[in-house]
Amino acid sequence: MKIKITYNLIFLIFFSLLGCKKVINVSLKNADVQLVITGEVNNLPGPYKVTVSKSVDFTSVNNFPPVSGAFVTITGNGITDTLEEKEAGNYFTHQLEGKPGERYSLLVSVNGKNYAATSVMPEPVKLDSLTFTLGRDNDIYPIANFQDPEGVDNYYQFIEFADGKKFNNGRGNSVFDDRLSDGRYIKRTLYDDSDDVKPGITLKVQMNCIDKAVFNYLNELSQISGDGGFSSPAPANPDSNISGGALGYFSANTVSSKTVEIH
Amino acid sequence: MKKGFFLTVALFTVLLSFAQQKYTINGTIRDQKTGETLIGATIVLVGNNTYSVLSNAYGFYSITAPKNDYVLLATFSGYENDTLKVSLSKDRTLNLDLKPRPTQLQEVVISSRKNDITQTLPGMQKISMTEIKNVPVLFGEKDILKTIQLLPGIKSAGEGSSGFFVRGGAADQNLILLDEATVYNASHLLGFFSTFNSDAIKDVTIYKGDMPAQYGGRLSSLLDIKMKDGDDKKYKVTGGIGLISSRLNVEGPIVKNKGSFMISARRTYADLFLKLSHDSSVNQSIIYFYDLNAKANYQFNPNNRVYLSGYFGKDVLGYSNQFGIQWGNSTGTIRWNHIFNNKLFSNTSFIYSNYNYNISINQTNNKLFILSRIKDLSVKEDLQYFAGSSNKVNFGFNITRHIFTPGNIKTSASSSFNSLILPDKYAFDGAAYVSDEWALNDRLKFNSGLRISMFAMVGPGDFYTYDSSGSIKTTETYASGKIVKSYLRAEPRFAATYQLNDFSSVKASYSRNVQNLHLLSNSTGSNPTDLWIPSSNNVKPEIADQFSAGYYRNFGNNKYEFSGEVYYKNLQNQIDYKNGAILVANQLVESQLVFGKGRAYGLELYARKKVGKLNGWISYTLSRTERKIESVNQNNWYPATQDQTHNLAIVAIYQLNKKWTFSSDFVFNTGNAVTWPSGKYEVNGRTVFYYAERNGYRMPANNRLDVSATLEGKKTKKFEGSWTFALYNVYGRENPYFVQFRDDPTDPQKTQAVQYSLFRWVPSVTYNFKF
Repeated sequence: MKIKITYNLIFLIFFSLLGCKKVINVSLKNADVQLVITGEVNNLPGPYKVTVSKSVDFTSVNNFPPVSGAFVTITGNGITDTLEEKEAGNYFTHQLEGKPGERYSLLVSVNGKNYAATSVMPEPVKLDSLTFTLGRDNDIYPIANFQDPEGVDNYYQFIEFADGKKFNNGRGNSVFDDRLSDGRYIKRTLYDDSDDVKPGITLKVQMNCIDKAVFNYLNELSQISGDGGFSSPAPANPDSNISGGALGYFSANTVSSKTVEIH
Repeated sequence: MKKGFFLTVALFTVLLSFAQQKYTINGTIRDQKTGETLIGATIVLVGNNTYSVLSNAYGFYSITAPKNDYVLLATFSGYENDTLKVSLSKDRTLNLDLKPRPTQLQEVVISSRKNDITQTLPGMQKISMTEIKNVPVLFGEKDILKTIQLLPGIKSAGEGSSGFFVRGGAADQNLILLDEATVYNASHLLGFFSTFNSDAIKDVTIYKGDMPAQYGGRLSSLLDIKMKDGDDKKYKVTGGIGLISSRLNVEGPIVKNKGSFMISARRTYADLFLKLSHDSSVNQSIIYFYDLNAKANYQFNPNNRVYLSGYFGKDVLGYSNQFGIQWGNSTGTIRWNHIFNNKLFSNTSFIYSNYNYNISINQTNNKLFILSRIKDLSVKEDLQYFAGSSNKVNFGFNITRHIFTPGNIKTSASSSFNSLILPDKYAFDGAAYVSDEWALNDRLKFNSGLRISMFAMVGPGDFYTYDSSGSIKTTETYASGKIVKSYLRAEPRFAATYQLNDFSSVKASYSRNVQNLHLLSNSTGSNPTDLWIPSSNNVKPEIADQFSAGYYRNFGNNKYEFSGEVYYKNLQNQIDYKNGAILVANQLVESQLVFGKGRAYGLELYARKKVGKLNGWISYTLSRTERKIESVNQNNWYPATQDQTHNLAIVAIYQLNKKWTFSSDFVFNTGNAVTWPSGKYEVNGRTVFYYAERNGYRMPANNRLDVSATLEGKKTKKFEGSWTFALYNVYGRENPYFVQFRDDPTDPQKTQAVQYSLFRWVPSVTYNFKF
């Protein structure tokens, strides 16, 4: 990640000296409408939410139509919980309680088609503390400090909240795995490409322990959400852990958070 | 019975030698002024019959003809012809020194150069250093790799990039040799400069797939670059001072007429300008490169000459002292030319090549150092046997030992990362070849060759096989030197040339190339951290079969030349990557790959005016390049990223008078095939784009005009100076570099496409000198 940042630096240099950018009109082909499912079970008390929505054309406004009337269940801890649609397209559990080490299965039926996914909730890792570092142009970046357990593969997701709200357009969202860091005490700088982290706000960082398939999904998602240019591969839809041809993902994960005020 | 047989043989031998009474002239062709050997000069013996031959890579020639009186004619582009009467009644050695034609105001010299249309392999092109000098380029730094991109069939990897694609091949399918040594990364500064300092270069030849059997190991092309030997008559200093880089070249005799040396150095200082920027992310950045070419040669006696050549280059970039990446090539070659007899020429090379990069991250609590490297040691033996008046045989072998260091990570005790040493990998790469250039008669020539290539991956190490999901299926441990997997491949090559008349010919060829080193590069740009991997138990050798044919014609007393070529290329075992592939510091990197095939076909037209005040060329390519990769686009054929339907380049150089030379180039090409969204959806509050197919869209087309003007200063016997003023992208066209899709910053309810362009109106000025 850091390599990529340094690397993009050169590009930035050339660009800032010589380059230019402009908004252009491109005519994009429209694809069939796709079903999008996102759902989470975690180790905090429920209810847990599953969202079902649809894709739209590129030129449409960012209103993604909710899908109502779906039949949604999550099976785990030996029970099957049928979710209730309390808001259009948002489905909630009744009695399910997420436990680390358990396997959870999601089933969504829409118009006679079934979509299924499973995810195993990893053992929790505690987020010890938040510290900060100053980057270029005095941007403030939070650092998440925690002990990675030795001998197991761990996958982490970080979500940042400023004054209780997620950052605009999914920023402040990143993932990390211990492939090259097993058993280390981790000081992970969260480069979030955002100016939401500034003095005067209360910053909350939520660290989720996720399973491998979810990590792969979120990692690919962050790749296609990058600059889309110089050092990126050809973009492709992230590999979903949901079978049946839906976009999105289903995650059973643990949650550990820290909140600090930035002065 | 036995006696009778021997008698018959003896009789035949006598009869044959009587009938033929052939003698051989051999020698070396040089520049009269500097003593540089001339590569590819034509030597013709004109008598009752005509015999001709080209000088080889070391200026050596050998020509055999029946006893007779002849006129010997030696010609080389940019030089006065040399003619002398030769009465051939015994073997002789004839070293020829050609006089360079003055570069100013060339008279229209029309030489008997019909051989141009017949002597070369189809798809082979040479570009002269004068042309490279005159073609305007970005930042005013004359550049071999950017100039060859103006030839048909060769495409640029991106605006301002020294990376190139030949006939639909990938960037790693070009074999780039500098004095026989492989250059693994031919670019500086992310590709904006090539690693070749043109001051140090004598000869550039590109073979677009039909390479001589002597060479192999890459699918698409051979770019054969030869460094200058150095002036063996007098000391000379040349150099240039530009806005962002400077060059200095020193050459001279070691022992007059016997040996010479050449040292050439170049350094950019772009980072000095960065300090002027107000942007702290820019003014604290470090960005420069330097390179050094050195060569020496010495002739011990007429039959033995030794050359030493080396290249060393390095790029450094970073941000304050927090991050840094350095990368560079170093190569070294020792060559020994030996003339066994007047027909047999031998060159033995010992070659070293090293490419490495290292990354250091130096933050208070996170220190990290990464090293990766590829190192080669080779022995190469090439022999040329000038068998007779119509036959030349090349044969030889080479063996290379590759050592790959995929990644060593060292970290401090408090770092978030573990130290990790990915074990080195070892491979042997060898080939034996024989090829024959045979002139059946005055009109018909054949060039046939066979190359047998062998590649073996050897232990020590653990070697894996993977299941379809990419998990390890089996692990096997091999002891040091034990063969894990080996591949033996035959690479036949064949070309035929038929001369229709004095000014036109047709050629056809077939060739197979095999590639055993593969560059893993999962990005659109060229990264120094891209990883070379060998063929292995999981990665099969890439194979290309190319069929090509062409028509060649000279017009107007050889003032103009025209060629039209068509090709079809079939590619096997092409490499692509899984979604989200992890290529960095991954011992299981082979599990991240997917495989497929490719095909490319096209038409290349090239017209050139070679002499006169106005010269230059027009090149046009119409082509298609497709890939079919497992699980991409439902296993259908799709356009490869480098697929460009149209590609046009026009280069014009005009010498107004002794003082001023103007030049320009214009390029137009269809945009690359790109993957753009076909919809959008939402995940975790983020707008995510939906992709329906790989490379289903086209970037907007590119076009650009560059101009330059060179003003020669007063010439004295001791000193010459010139100024070159250039303007890149004259009409400031915003050529698309990439297009980003994002939420509209002013209206988060909307999304937009943003086009980034790199270079508009880049002026440059360079001062060149020589004393």
